[in-house]
Amino acid sequence: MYVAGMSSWTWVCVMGGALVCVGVVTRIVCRQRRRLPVPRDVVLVHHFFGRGWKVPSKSPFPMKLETFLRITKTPYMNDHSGRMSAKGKTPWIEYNDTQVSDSQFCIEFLKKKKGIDLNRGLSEQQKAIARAFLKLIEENLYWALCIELFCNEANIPLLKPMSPLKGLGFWLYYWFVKRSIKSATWGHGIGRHSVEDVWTIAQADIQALSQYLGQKKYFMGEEPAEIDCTLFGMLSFLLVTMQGTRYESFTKQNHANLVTYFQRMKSSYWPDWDTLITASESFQNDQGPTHYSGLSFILTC
Amino acid sequence: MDSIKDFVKTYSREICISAAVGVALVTIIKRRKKRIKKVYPANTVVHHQIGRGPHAPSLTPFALKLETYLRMAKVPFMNEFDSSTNRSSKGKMTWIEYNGEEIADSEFCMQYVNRKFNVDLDKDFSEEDQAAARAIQRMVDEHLYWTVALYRWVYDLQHGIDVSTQLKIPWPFVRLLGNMVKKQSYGQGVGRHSEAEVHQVMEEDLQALSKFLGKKKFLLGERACSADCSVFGMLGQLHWHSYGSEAAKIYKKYPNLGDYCERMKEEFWPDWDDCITHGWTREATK
Repeated sequence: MYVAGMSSWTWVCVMGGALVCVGVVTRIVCRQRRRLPVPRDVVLVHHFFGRGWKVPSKSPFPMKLETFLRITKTPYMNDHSGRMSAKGKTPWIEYNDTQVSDSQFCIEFLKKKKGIDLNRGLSEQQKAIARAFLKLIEENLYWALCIELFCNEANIPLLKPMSPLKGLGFWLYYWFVKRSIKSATWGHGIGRHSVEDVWTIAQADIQALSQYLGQKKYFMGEEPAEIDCTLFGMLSFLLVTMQGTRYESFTKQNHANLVTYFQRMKSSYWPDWDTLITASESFQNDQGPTHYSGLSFILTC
Repeated sequence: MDSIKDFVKTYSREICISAAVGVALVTIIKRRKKRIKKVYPANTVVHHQIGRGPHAPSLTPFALKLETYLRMAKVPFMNEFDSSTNRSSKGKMTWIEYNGEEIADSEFCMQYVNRKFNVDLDKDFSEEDQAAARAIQRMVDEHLYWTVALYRWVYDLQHGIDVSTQLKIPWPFVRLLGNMVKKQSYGQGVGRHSEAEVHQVMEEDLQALSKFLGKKKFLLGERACSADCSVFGMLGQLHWHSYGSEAAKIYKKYPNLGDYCERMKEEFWPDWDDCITHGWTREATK
C-alpha cells in the first residue's frame, strides 16, 4: 500500500524514527531544565538511577563515593535522575560548575579542592598496597561479581525482586545488561572464562582481602583510609545485593571478618541505611526521582 | 576495463560459484590442519606463545610472565612459537599444553602447574604478604596492562613513533590492533579516559610498585614470589620495548624498577641473549 509516494512499511520506519528522536530530544531538554539548585561549595553527586532495593546504591561506585563524603564529612547533595557524565560513566560530581567523572578521579579532585586526605596516616608502602587492593577490587573482583549476577542463570530469581521492571520489561533489561557485561568483560579478558573459572578467580580475591584485613578495625589499621570506601562499596554489592548467591555464602562461611568489617562500617557511616533503601518501610527519597518504569523512563521529565 | 566488465557480467554465476568453492576449500583445509595435533614429549609443559621479541624474550607481558614462572618453578618445559595462529580456547595468545590437556590464561596456567608439579613458590611468605602480592598482581595484569597497551597501540602512533618497524608488524595490522585495544579498553573502563588521565593513572600504578618494592631485592624480600613474574612481565615491556615513548619517560622516573628488571633478568634468564632477536637482526636460538 502506498501513501504519498511511500509504502506503508517506509511510513512505519519513518514514524518510529521520528518518535525516538522526539523522545530523546525531550529527555535531553527536560534534564537540562531540571538541574538541581545546588549551593556553592556543596558537592552534587549524580547517582546511578536512584536508590537501590536493599542497598543505598545499585552500583558499588556511588557507594564508594558517598562513603568517602560521609567519612570526610564533606557537604553534598544527591541527584538521582540518572544523568550520565560526558564519558558515559556514572557516578560523577559537579562542584562549583566543574564536572568530574569516574569515582576515583572525583575523590582525587575533592582531596585537592577541600584539602582532605584520608591516607595521610599511611606510610608510602601502605599507600602502595592500598592502591594495589583498589585495583584488585575495582578492576577484577567487580567484574567477577557482575558476571556471577548477570551471566549465571541460577541467579535470575534473585534479580527479579530487585528490578522495578516486570514480565517482558525485566527480560529485555536482563538481556541488555547481560549483553553489555559480556561485551565489556570479553574485551577486559575475564569474560573469556567460564562462569565457574570466574568463581575461582573471585574466591582468590575475596581470600586476599580477608587475609590482609585480618582482625584490624579498618583495612589499613586503626583509622579509615580511602581503600575502606572502595571495599565497603564492593562488600555492599557482594553481601547485600548478591545475597543468596554462592559468593555471599562463601564469604560468610569462610571469611567472616569481612562481614563483621562491613557491619562496623555500615553502623559507623550509614546509620540511616534503612531510610535509603526502597525495600524499607521507612524509605525517604533524599533527592530527585528514584524510580522509573520501562519505556516511560525515556519520555517522562 | 570494459572487457573485464563484460567478462564479469557474462560469467557472474561461475565466478560466484568458484568463490564459494574456494572459501569452502580454504575452511576445510584449515580445519584439517588444526585437527592434526602435534605430538609433544610426555610430562613436559608446552608453552605456546608468539615469537621472540627484539630486546626482551616476548612482546607480550603474559608470555614473559609465564615463561619466567616456569623457569622459577624449575619444571620441564618447551616453547612453541605458534600462538599467532594457534590461539587458546579463550582466544588469547599465551597458553600451555601438558600431556594433551590445554590450559588458557597465564594465572590458570600457573595454578595448574602448581597442582601438577606440587609447586608453591609463595608458601614461606606470611598470609598478609601473600595477600598484598595478589593485589599487586591484579593491579599489574588488570590495570597497568591497559595503560601500556593504550600507549603502545594508540598513543605512540599518534606521537609519530614507528611502532610498525619496531615491533615488526605490518602497518595495517598495527591500525587494526589499535582499534581493537581502543574498543576493549573502552569496555574495561581505562579507555574512556583522556591520554592525560591514562598518563596519570599509569604513573600512579608505577609509583605504587616503586614504593612497594623500595630497596628490596624482589617484591616480598630476598626471595622471588609468583607475583614477581607478573610485575617483571609488565615492566619488561616498559624497560625494553618502549622506544623513548611517553610511557618510557614515566617509567624512568622510578629507577628502582629498572634495577629490579635487570635483577630478574640476571636471576632467571641467564640465556637472555639467545632468547631475543637483537632488534630483528638475527633469529633467537632458544
